[in-house]
Amino acid sequence: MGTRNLLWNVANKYFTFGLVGLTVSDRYASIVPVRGGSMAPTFNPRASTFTDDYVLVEKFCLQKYKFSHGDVVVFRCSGDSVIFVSVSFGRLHECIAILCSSPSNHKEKHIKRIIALPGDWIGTTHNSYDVVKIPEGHCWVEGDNSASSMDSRSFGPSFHSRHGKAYLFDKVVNVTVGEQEERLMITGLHTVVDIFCVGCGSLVGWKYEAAHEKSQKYKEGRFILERFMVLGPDGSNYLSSQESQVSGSDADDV
Amino acid sequence: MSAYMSIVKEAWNQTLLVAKFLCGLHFANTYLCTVGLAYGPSMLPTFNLTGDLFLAERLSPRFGKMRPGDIVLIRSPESPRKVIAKRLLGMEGDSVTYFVDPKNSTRSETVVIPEGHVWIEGDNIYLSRDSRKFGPVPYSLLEGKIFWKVWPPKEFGSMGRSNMKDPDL
Repeated sequence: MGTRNLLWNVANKYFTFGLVGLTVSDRYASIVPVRGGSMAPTFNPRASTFTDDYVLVEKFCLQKYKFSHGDVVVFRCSGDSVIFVSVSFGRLHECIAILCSSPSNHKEKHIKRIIALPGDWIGTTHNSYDVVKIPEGHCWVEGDNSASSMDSRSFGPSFHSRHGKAYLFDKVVNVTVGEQEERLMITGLHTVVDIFCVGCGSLVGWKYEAAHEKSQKYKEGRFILERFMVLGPDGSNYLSSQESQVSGSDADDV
Repeated sequence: MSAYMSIVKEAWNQTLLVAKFLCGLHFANTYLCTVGLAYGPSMLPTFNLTGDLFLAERLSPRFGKMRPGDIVLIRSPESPRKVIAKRLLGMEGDSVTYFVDPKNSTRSETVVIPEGHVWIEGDNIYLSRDSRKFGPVPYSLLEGKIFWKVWPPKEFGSMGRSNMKDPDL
């Protein structure tokens, strides 16, 4: 009788503990290991399988789906969409989130950083130049280590230009247009003309003359300026080269 | 003193019991079965306009037992705060033909559902925002399979593939 009582008590205790633990990890917070180097140097800065980082993931944000840029999120993904499982807080006041599973396996989870939220614009570096608006209910995620990260760049709502970030403008001045051509972008076929700076003649972006996809019609008549082309690879605004060019033209005038 | 201690002990035991009960409720609601309210015109005539109470089980999506024809509970791909009820019409690899604009034309389109996605449509194709609008939906957004209608009382009973508009689909 005594042993039966004892067994019952132990079973009862374990059951309660499991139930409470499951509830807490589902609703409030849990701890997850980070595998792989896609978030280096934030997590797993050294490539070694024995020193996985563990992160605390909070799940309050899931009730209201409140996320902001720069949050690190844990999610399960499938194809081109991302759903959030949770967001956690880690070091340096950063939110940590979990990324979704790979397209082929919706049970797998990933950790990535949120780059853009619904309504934002983002350019893609994905073998074509294009800018895309993040649709409602979606977001753009990238790993901190761009060299070894599977993220929105490879599966997401993708909009990167050839040279990284680009911006869509209604009106651009001091540019000349080039020849009209049909260009196949990630979001479908577009009729575009390249635009060049009137001062230096360098390519700075392009103008959408026509979009053949209905959902991309909003781009018609608008201009893309590539950040890389306007500011230079280091964001220096081409200051030094501009100066040399100015002095050169002065010499010509004389 | 001992009376005080016993009160504290009793209170602790009761609190523990309540906490256990709430945790059990959470477990049942998240992993086994949930109750929901469906309203709006998109699932007429399966669900009425005014709001029907139903039971949805959460085991089928978890173990991949979903089949075309099931009525599913799915997190809306457009606004993740909402959960919607729709009918599952195609799994990954299936090809689905649908009317683009059933009110004004009979133009139809055929798509092949990509890997890891499903195709959902409302039973009332004239007034429904579904895959025809936002395309295939990731499987991981599926939250449950609706299997029992609770309210209104005269429609109380199991639901699912049997009352589908076209069983050959």
